[in-house]
Amino acid sequence: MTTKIMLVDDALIMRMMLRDIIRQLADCTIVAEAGKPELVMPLFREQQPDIVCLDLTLDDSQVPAGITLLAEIKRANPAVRVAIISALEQQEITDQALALGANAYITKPFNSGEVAATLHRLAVMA
Amino acid sequence: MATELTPRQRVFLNEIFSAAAAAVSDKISRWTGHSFTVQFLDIGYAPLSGIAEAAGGSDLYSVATLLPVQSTVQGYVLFIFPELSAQVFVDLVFNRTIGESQAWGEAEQSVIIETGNILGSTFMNILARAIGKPIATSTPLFLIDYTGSIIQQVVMEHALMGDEAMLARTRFSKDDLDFEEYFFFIPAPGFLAAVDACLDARESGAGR
Repeated sequence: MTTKIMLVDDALIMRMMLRDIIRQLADCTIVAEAGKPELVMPLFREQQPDIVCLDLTLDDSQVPAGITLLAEIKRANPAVRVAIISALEQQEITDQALALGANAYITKPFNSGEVAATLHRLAVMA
Repeated sequence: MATELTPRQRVFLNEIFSAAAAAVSDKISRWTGHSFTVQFLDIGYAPLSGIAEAAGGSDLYSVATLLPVQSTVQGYVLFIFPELSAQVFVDLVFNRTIGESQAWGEAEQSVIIETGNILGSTFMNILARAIGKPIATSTPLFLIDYTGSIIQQVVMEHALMGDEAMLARTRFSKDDLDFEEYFFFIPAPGFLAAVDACLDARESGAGR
């Protein structure tokens, strides 16, 4: 069965890099991409991905928008696996994301092997 | 007159910026796939009007990213690249021949914006660890203009909180390439008071 992946990152270059990595993975396909936080939930409900690759810094809100979205995504479907991909590497923020149900936390700039291995692990978690 | 750092503030900030330079060297090398060295030289406050001179001169055509910082610490992180250096940087990230990137399309701008995000966040991660509180950043902005005009835009539209910037002089180098990049932190007033509070807490903790 094909694993459906959604990409959420405001930076086009990051989405391009993630596309290249996911293209190499067997049985994975990108079903949606969002660069702005307001696009995330409508696309998420429409496409029902199995995995979401979620950046944290998406706008100028005081609480990183990715944290708010993570909570909404997990509320909408607790079975969805979420990989946070962020340049923020601070214990409190990492702990908060994991407490909200994030399944992985990858720091930018990422290594393509690390992303591929994480997505593979999350794909087989179903 | 620009703010003078006290000796203990200078020691604390030197430690943070030295650690940040080492971390940024690692991140920038991973990001571009090429070995960069980032060396921290010194730190001090300078009037905003002096930034353009410190970044190669007002008439130099440059590309910049402005990263808003909020929560415990507030302010902006500003990276300025002379346009030629920025193009080299884009070539490295895209694995293109040096000199190939000439125009600033969405993908090229995105490289510079993400570079500002990664490097600025790396600095804030280290500052957050030092002060023991999380620091969130916002999406960086992309600016392209003469350095003097970039600074003017930053001052008029963003840096309403003060009239001086903390200037951390850093040297970015890559073995075989000419590369320049300038780093500025424009903290909101009250930043040094937060540094002092952190140092007081450390000293009272150490004294117990």
